[in-house]
Order: sequence, then structure tokens, then C-alpha cells
Amino acid sequence: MTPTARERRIRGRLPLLITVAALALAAVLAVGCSSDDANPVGVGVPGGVNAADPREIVFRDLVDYGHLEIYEENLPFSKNSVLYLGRDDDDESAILAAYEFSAFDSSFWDDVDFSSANVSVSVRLFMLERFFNTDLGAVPLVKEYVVSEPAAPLDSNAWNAPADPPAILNQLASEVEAAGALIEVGLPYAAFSRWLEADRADLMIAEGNAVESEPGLVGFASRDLGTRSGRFTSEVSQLDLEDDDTILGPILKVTFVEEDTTVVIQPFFDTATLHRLAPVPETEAEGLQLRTHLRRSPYLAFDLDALPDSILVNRALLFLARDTLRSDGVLESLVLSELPTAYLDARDRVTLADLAWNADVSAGIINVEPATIDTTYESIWLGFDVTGTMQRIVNGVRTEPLSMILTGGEDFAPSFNSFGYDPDFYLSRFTFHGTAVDSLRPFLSVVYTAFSTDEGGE
Amino acid sequence: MRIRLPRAAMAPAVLLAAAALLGAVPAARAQTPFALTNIGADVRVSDARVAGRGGWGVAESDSLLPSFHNPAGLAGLRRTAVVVSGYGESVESESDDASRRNNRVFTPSLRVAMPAASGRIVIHAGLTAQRATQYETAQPTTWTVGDAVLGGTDYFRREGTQFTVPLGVALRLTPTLSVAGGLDLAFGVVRDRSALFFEDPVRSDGTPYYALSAEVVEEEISGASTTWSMQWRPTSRFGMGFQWTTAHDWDITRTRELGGVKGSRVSESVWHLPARWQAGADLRLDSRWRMGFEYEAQSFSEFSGRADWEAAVTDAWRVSAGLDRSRADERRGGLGNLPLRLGYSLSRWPYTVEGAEILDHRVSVGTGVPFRGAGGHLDMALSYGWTGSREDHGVEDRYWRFTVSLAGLEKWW
Repeated sequence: MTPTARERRIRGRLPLLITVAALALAAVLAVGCSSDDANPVGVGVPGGVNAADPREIVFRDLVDYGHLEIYEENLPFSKNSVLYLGRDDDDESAILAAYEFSAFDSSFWDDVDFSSANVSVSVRLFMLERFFNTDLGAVPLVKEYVVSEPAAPLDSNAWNAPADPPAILNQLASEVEAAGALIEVGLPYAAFSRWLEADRADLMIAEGNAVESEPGLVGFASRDLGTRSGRFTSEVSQLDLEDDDTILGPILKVTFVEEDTTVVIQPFFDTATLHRLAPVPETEAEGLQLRTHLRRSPYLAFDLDALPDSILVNRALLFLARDTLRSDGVLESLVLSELPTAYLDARDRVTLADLAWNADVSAGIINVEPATIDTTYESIWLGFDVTGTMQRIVNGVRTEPLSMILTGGEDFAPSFNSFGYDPDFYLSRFTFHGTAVDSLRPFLSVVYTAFSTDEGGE
Repeated sequence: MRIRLPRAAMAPAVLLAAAALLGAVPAARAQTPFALTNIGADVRVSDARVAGRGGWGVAESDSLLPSFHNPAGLAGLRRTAVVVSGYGESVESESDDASRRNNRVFTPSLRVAMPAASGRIVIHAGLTAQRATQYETAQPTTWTVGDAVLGGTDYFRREGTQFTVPLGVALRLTPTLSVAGGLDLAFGVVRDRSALFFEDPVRSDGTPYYALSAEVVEEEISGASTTWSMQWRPTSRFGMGFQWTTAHDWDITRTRELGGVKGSRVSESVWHLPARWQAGADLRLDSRWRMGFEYEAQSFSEFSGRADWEAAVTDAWRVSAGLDRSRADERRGGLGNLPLRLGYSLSRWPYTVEGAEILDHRVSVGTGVPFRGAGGHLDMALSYGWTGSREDHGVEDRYWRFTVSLAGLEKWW
């Protein structure tokens, strides 16, 4: 059978047609590889391995507990930014300051009248806003401020730790004042005259016994505020100042009426005595307390024997219940870190640098459980995210027993230090319930996922 | 300028171009949820002629149109045959409250047969990639953990490819009787990924409170089976064939990893796959038309190795029937000269869902065109199928499948 010319033409083109068809088919198939997003279609069909549902395990028994004193090696006790004054049932502190009068050494003062008719003297304190500005949550306290002269000149080298106030020679003045940016107490001219003669003055400013005086500590700027390493704007901003160049500290203000001149004398030494402070708890039952100034950091560890092996920790939270009557400070500044238990048990006192070297930050402000730290701060429970710590324990990354220590936002945890000044700037105390009340005791909640229970083929 | 390839080189060139293009096709993204690991959807790539007539072909023997459906049918081959097959599929899966469309491509099967003694002995080999195991689901879920209620998505994805390498020899014992024996090497990896995304509650920056749980189970498969085949064609009008793949074991190395957890769990196990057999016959009705029939069965209830599957596995079978009109060369025959294939197959999958058997219905039609000088042919088939039912299984599939085969025949020496 002989093919027609048309059929011969078609057959001649077949290989080309086939190639084109194959190319077109491949192109269509390549473009056609697509899929709708996954959805419930197919759920429940057998054969698949489904991840196990998350479970919770709660740990309540403590195997380590204590408080660690933390100090800065090159920072004397007297070099404080804030000077505390006042007293209540647990605490008491006075302010000490010493001055010299070289400001009057120049010839300018030779013809100036230093008589009582022309001179008035006062001591002025700069109160931190946190203690009078109600917008910042302050509870302003009325206090009687009593200014006295110590029996002996203050020895700046002797004040390396909290200590009882010195013996008093005489009381110079007292005044009851409401809380405010400035507290000023007038001083007798006779005292000034003596100081001028001796070229030195020593003062103690303490809370008096007037019935109007309300219990509690209030904080004032020291000469060192903002000068630890230059003048920290963030620290100075805690004051309500009219002039950025204001000389800070418990200053002596000498006013010359005729010359219409005021001389401000900054103390060459000042400190707070902090001679009585509520002790930190000593037993698990009493609780835990973090003190940011004169630092004391609580630590604890739970008995984790029941923690399963080979689990994924979806979320682990250390819950602490605040004792709101014994707590004062910014909750978001708290930071939780992990440390070897042996390290903590071997010492009661450690430098901040040593702690920074040994501690690993576990949780801090960004991980504090928002559900328990709402804007109203009504919940007493704080949850610290220790997911990373728990996963490291499960994975055996840290083989030694670990404890968790609570600190302020120290420099070794800078991302949590959102306020720009060191935790010891304020004497903040955060007290947490201990094991005495079961419903308030610390506990550790671990939500985890284990390997799926499907053991097919094994 | 017009480039003309030498006639003898035309068919291999077309084959290579098509194979390269099909090989370059990106991985399919998803498959039907009816796809238990490697023993679910039948993704064996038959050539398009077999697919077009519903899946029967175990009794077929044609030295000009070689089929690997039953290697015993290759015994009379006088030229080297290369066949590349593959198919694309569009599946619409529907459950009561959702539907999902997946378009995918199955990488080609490459088969080669060479006569060792022309017309009497043929050796054959091949490589097939069975992308049997790829689909994903996402289910909104809540979990109660202690006092907390977490919301999120329970996600599952199965992916993996199983390769098989068939090697064998076919012998023509008598003009009417041929036999074949072969070894099928199987290897590959199937990976199940399951993840729980805890999307609620979240922090103020939007990141979830709870770290996601992600588990990966990877099963590395290796095994081998033997296949024995025979064909008997007592007359030119009638033939029958039989094929038996022995029961065999797969060595499974199972590695399980939980995201974020140190180490993995590795275990070794053996899966026992039961024997599979096929039997079929075809009958020439007139000069062009043939009808055929085939039955395949595998007693999957004898499967062992996965305790969690044992309650679901069941015996699988397939029955296929159809018609095949061969090519003609009638003057002014037009489209009537083209081959035409029609068929239907019904199969029962090797496992149940919700306790109900899964039936897969498929109707097919196909055709093809020869290369010049009987140097090969291009065949294609279009199938429409439906699997499962929403009433019995909670989900059902409807799919279109387009199968293409390119076969080349050359005398290589």
C-alpha cells in the first residue's frame, strides 16, 4: 500500500512533532507541580507518626537554697549614688557629710561682711523623684529632718560598710517637711562661724521623733550621683532639677545678703549609714529576698529527679509569689541566672565580676511571664522563663547540678538592664514567699513533649 | 538553517530530550492522603500503553512494542529497547469540611532490554523512582496542659522516594512459551515530619510562648525481591501470562529525632512484605482489536514489622479489563489508523481507613504514534479515577492522570 503525498509529509514531520510534544508535556508537568496549602484533609489516615501532646510536670521540692552577698571590689560603700534617710520597723539610716571651706580662701572675700546680719546658712537635699512624684508611684512621706554635729570629725576611710551613726555633739536644727524635690533646713550662724574658723564642718542628717514624721526610707542625691563614670544622664534624670549644672549632694548653701551672692559648698565626703536593715530570710520557709543595694541575691534549686530524659522543653517557668508588703522596686529589672550549685554552696560572698564570670543568664525582663506581670501588677506571681536552662539540663550540656540565682539587671545581663543605671542605684527589695505556705511556695513548671509513643518497628 | 538528524539517531535523541526534561521536573509537593508508607497508592509507573487499557498486559508480547509489564514478554526482542515512562497527576481530595488539590509529577521509570541471543534471550535492567509517599496535613488544634489551654496547628508531612532497580533475564523456551526471572533491589528513605505549632498564647512581640515540638522519623529502606514470570501464547489470537514476586523482607533503619533534644533514637527492624502475583490473558477479536484481562493480588494481611499498622492492613487486589486497537496503515485512514486503548481497573488498597476498605476506580483511554522506520513509539494515556469515599473514610480523592511513554528500538550491535 503506497502512502499518499500528504501522509508522507505528515510522517516526515513526526519526529519533530514528537519532540515538540515531549517538550510541551514536560513543560506543562513542570509548571503543574503545585499544591494547595496543607489543611485537615487527610487527618486521621493511619500510618503517620504524630508528635506527642505536650505535658506538664511540676517541681516543688527544693534541694538548694540560700542568699549570696555580691559586692563590687573597687566601689567603696561610701561611694553611693543615693543617700537614704529615715526609719521604719525594719530599717534606719542617716546621712553623714563633711565639708571644707576653701571656697572663701580667695581675696574676693577679704572685704565681704561675714557677720550674722549678712550671712545665712542652710543644708539642702535633693530628693529623688521616686520618693515624691506620685506619677511615678511614689508615696510622699512627711519627715522631720534633724541636723546635728558629730562629736568627732568624720573619718571617710572608716565608712566601708553600714555602721551605727556617730555620737552627737549637738543638734543644730530640725524641720518638718513634706516630700519634694528640695529639702532645705536652716542652720544657726554660730555653727557656720565655728566651721569657718576650723575650715571644716561635719553634719549628720537624720529623722527626728516628731509625731508628724512618717516611717520609711527616702533617698537623696549624693555628691557621687552621676559621677561614677562621668555624669550619667539616666541617674541624674531621677532628680527634678531646674539646672543641669546643679551641684549635687547634701550641699551647704551660704547666702550673702549684701552681695546678693550664694555660695554652694559640696561635701568632700558623704554617706548613708544604713545602720539598720531588715535581714534577708534565712530559711526556705521564710522565703527569698533580692536586695539590689548592699546586694543580696537569693538562689534555689529544685529536685529534678522526676524530670524525664530526652524531652523537648516547650516552656519552663520558675514561679515565685511576691510578698507585696515586703517588696519595693521595678519588677522588670529582675534577672534569673543559672550557676553551679557547688559554686554557690562554697561561698557566702562574691564579687560582681566573679559572679558575672560564672553565671549564665537564664531569664530576664523579656521573658518574664506577661500574664503574671500585667500593667496593674495585681498578680503576686512572677514567672521566669527557664526553658533554655531546663533544655540544657535535659541535654546534659551542664552535667553538674545547677541552681538559679535572682539578681537585678547587672552588667553581665545588659539586655535586661533597661534603665541605664546599676541595680544598686536604688535600695530595692523583692521578697518572695518561701515554703511555709504551700499555696505560695516557689515551684517550677515544665511543659514538655516526649518522643511520640508510636514505636513502630522497634 | 534546518537541522536534520540522521534517521537512526532520531529516536534516541527524542528519548534523551524527553528523559532530561522529565528528570528536570521539580519534586512533587504533595500527594493523596491515601498513602501509607510505600504500600499505599499504586505509583508503579506502567508504560502508557498498559495504563491506557486499564492496566492489563501481563500476557502481552510484542517485539516491536516492548512492554516491561511482564519481562517474559521481552524474550523475542531482536533490538535494544529503551523505554522512559512517567506521569503527571492532579488530585482533588475532599473531606467534609475541606478540600485540597495537588498537582504532581512522578519521575520517570527507565527500562532497558537488550537481546543476548536475538529472539531467544534478553537481559533487562532499569531504575524507577516511586514518589509514593508525599503528602501533608495541617489541623487546627487545642491542647490542655495543666491549667493552660494552648491553640495551634498539628502539622504532619510525609515525604520520601523509594527507588527500585529491576535486573533480569527473559528466555524463549519454545515459540509459544517464555519465562523470565529477575531481581528487584529496593532502597530509599521515607521521612515523617510531625510538628505542633503553639500559636496561642504569644508574647507582645508575636513570638509564641511555647516552643514548637517537631519530631522527624526517618525510615531507610533496603531490600530485595525476586520476580518470576511466564507467558504462554498457544495461538496468535490468545495468550496468557503469570508473574510472581516472592515474599521478601525490607531492612528498616529507623531514626527518630526530636527537635532541640540531643541525640537521636536509632532502631533496626525488618518489614515482611507478602508475595504478589499477577495473572492475565488477552484475546485477539479481529485484525486490530484485542481484549484483555488481568488480576493481581497481594496478601497484605501477612505484612509484619509495623505493629501500629497491623490493625489497618488488609489483602490488596486489582482487576483490570479493556480493549486495545492496534495501529493501522490504511490509505486515507486518518485518525482511524491510530491505536486506541480503553480500559477500566478496580483495585483494593492494602489498608483500611476507619475500618473500611479503600477502593480505587480508574477508567482510561490511550493512543500513540510510531517513530519512522519502526524505531520506537510515543504513547500516552489519560485516566480518571476516584478513591475512597467521604462516608466511609472521611475523605475521597478524584484524580486525572496523564501517562507518557517513549520507547526506542535500535540495533546497537
